[in-house]
Amino acid sequence: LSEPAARPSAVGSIGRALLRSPRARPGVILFGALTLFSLVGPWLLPPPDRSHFALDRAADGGPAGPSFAHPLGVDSLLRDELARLAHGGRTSLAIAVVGALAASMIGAFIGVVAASTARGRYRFVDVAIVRLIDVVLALPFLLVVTAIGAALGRSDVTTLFTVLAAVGWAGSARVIRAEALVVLELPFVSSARALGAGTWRIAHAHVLPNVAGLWVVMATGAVGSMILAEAVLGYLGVGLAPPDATWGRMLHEAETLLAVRPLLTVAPAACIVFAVLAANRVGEGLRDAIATSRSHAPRHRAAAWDLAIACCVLVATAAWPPAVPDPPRAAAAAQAGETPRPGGELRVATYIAVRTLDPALAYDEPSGAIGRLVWERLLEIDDDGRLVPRIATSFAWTEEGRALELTLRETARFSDGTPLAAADVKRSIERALHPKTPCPGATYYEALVGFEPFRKGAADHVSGIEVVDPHRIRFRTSERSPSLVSLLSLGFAAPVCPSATAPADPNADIPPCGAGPFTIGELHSEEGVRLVRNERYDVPGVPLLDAIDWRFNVRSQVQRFKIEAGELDITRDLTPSDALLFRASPAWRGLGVDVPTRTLSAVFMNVEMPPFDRVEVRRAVSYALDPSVLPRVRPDIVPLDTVVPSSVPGHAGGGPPRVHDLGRALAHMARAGLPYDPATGEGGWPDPVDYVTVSDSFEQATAEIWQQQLAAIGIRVRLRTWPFATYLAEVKSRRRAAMGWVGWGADYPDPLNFFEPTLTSRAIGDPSQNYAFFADEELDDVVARAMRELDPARRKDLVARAESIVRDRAPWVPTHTPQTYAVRLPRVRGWKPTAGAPQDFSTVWLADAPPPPLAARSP
Amino acid sequence: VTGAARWLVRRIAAALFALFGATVLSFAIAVALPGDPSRVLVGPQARPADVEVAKRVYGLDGTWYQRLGRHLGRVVHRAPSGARPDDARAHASCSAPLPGVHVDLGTSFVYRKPVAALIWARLPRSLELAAGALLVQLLIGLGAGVLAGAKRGARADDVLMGTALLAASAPTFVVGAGLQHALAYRLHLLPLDGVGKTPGEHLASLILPSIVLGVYGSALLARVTRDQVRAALAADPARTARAKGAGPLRVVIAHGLRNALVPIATLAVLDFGALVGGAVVTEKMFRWPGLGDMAVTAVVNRDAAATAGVALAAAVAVAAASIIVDVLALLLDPRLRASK
Repeated sequence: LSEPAARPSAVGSIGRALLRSPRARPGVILFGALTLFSLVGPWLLPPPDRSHFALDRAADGGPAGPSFAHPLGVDSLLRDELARLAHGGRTSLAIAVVGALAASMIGAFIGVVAASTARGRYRFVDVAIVRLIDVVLALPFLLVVTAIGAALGRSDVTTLFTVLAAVGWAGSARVIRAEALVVLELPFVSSARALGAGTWRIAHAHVLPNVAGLWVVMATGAVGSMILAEAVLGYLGVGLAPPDATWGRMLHEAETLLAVRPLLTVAPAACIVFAVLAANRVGEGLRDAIATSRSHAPRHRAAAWDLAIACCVLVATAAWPPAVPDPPRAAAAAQAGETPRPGGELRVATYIAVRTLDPALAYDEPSGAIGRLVWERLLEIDDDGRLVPRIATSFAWTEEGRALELTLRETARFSDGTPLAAADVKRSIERALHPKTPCPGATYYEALVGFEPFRKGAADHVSGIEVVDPHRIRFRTSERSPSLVSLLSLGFAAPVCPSATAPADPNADIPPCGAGPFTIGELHSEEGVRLVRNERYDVPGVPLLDAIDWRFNVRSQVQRFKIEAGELDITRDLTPSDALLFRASPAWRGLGVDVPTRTLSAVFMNVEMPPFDRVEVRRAVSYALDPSVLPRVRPDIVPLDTVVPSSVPGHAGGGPPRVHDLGRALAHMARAGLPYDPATGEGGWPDPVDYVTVSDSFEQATAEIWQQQLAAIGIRVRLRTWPFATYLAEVKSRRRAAMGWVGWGADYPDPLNFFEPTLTSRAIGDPSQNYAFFADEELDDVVARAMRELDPARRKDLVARAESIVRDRAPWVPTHTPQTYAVRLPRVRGWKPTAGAPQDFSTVWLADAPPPPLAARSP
Repeated sequence: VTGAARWLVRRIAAALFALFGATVLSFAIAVALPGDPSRVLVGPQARPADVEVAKRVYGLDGTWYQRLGRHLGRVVHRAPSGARPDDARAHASCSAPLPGVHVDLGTSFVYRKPVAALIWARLPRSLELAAGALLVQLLIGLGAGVLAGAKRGARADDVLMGTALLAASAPTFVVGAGLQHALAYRLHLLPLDGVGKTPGEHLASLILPSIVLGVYGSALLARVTRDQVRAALAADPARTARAKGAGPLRVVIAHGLRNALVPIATLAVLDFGALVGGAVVTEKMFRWPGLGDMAVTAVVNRDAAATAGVALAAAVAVAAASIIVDVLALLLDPRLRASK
């Protein structure tokens, strides 16, 4: 009979065995060193959450590299990397060790219980456990993690233990159970059973010691995977709340800077790899100590090959020079006097997953850009606010601004050959406003006479849309509505072929045809769309391209690779660090362009929740926030002090800039009855204030900066980061979010689109579009008057008045607007991106377009 | 034989229960989680009145138990007679595995397609990737594990185990980005991403994601293999065989590997089941249209029908894998056969 495996009598003997084992000793030392660094480091190093905005950017545009004051340099938010590494170690190591222990202990316990009850009276226990393991392993990891994170609310270290243990136990339980079943069949177990040992006795004395070796393997393996799992949690926004560092999160944050600052990736990666390697060596030593029956196995001086290889890889990566962009292939030099030539295929990509192209349903940017080319708009408005004729050649206000008459281009026709008449415009708009069409912007058109009965299904037509004759159409509104011109420039009003079904079917595979310069050749919603020229398009010389290949879901990094390889003609989605490299590269000079966007980022303060129910506190915040530091973090960010970005036609512009003034901010805090003394740190608002934003975004980075700036006036901000869907639910609920990020992009080119849906009392509701719950009679009145004002100059004055009200009462503090850095291959000509139409390829041509075969050009 | 057959039937019945549990639980969680799925349909800026219309059109209105009831009520139902003109529209998201029976996993409002059709289109991609990754995992894990186990104390042991562990210590997105940069971008050896157009391109596109996914799992497999082989080689039968003059290769294969097969097969097959639905980061990184990619999109957007659908598909894979594990264990280990 085999002897039951002996177990060590005391912890001390394990410790001695560990230090004796030549394999384990380096592991113990390494793990100890990492632990010591994490425990002592935070005392010696600067605070890990302070940005050093005084540092200049390096020559390549990245954050400053290593220096005497910052031995490992600073991270993307200009915080000391070494200090964050030390702080991150505390959390990462604690989470990994406790999480791994908890998960594998629960797993081992359940696995042994299951195996022990697999025979006999209590079989149902085993069956239930196995079923439970099946269900847990079958559920998507993300779903479980998100659910537990949401159920527990705040993300702290305890939450992470719970999540990791709850997700991790099932796997080890299965393996331990399988091993225990084998052990239960061994002769000495049968003998013990024959001698009368009970289930408990067998599990305790025979099964446990014999699965211990495997358990140690699982547990030490789990330490590493727990560190990695923690990185995934940070990525999902259910990890620790920022700005607390963990190695996993640091690694993730450094990913975008990999091209220019590999050291920022290598430093946390090294910590993770060494911690995992050390844990493994400790595990081996532990197993040797426990499995004394195997102690006769040969011992030898194990060379630390794993450590050596790890060091080599890490040093090589850290020392790797930044990957400077290759010069564009097949450069076609610009020649004087060259003329546009037809033909060729343009290849573009977006990182966004485009879900629908149907103009009645689409709202995201790429679908709008593609839609413009396929479903020509009635009219467009350029960045200076001038009307650009499309299908409508002119418009005229009549009846004191209560009716708008459009004259249509007589030669216009759909790509299926049908002529386009005024009745088609009416039919197309009614298709978008149909009661069963989930159109995102139907209510924009509520000013139209007859909108309400039609939308409710009580009328067959919108009575306010009148066909005057085949080429003239009139829109009647219940009151003066100058925005109607902008609204008619949207895709919702773009004409679609008579064959289109009404209501629009959101699940249709192929959208209806239109009257634009291109038609849809092939469409795979996961992959992309191929547009081919519409041979029936009636405007001469448009388009020049034969086709456009538009890929969806392409990561920014891959877009960079592809444009360098000459497989992509235009990219607008470069990562910030790649954009820096392309800007600095001489080979790509003249091929990049900054395109402004019509979007705004601001900080909202909920005026119904303390402390922001006091206007003086809101004013203090508006003086304390300093967006001028943002370009130091990301050069493509433009600080903003107005609600309406200057890229929106009709913006107020001009006025005195808002100043950042800490003294005034403190004065306003004092006036609010909350004096704060920066020297002693006493006073201010006593409770932490929750700031809500979207996880893993630049908005999270700005929140970490605002947190530092608001701490200077005695407002202690606690960050709550959520996935976008949860963020929306939070900010739209009453008395839920005290402050947070608010972003707004122009639905249509009109400055009032930045006030009316977001800051007026009409926008308050449940759910509320007015995140600040700001109700101000004067603002309501100014906005209402501006909405009816036809005269551009007087309208501009009213917009300026609205801006000054928002600045004074500070429900929002506007902070910045992003720019897009777009890069093209040299062969792309005739592309003039603007804020309103950043991807209008109707006039683009290719310098190396092959002369088209004549047979292919038949109409 | 009858005992084994009865056991198998019980096993499958239990698996069906797990599938049902996974479906109900995942649908309920996805619906009950805070979040506003209708925003995905109409954008974050749409006005409340427009959101209401979209909710009604997509069936996203009502409480979570009403929606769960509606969903479960349609999972399996009788096919309509086809007499009413509305039938085609009302059963657009159904598939008919048997005549007269409809299976309806609902419509994903994110992908705007029937969930059953989506899963059917993505499952082959996931199976390919899982098979590729498993192949990589077995090649590296078994190779390194057997070698290291057979040559305990040799330098090969240290180098192999060290390298395997190192590869698994780096997060997938670092390994993936590194390999993509080196092999696809710098050296132009393999496609950057996507699935390719021809079968050749398809196979070439599969290599990188398979390596990235397989390397991660190979370390655990290598360690378990090494330990099992080592233990088996130190045990009496192997010593006896050696004493009777069996060659080193024969001892390693017949006594070392043979005895290590149960835990190795358990790990490998379970990994395969998990890989089918769990290759989240890799699928995203290489634009591989499988189920893992769909799972993230569904969960993040609170798309309950798609979430439940993916959970069901993953559950089928895991349940099938665990049945296969048990059958394999019976076949590979005669000691277990006695108990059944």
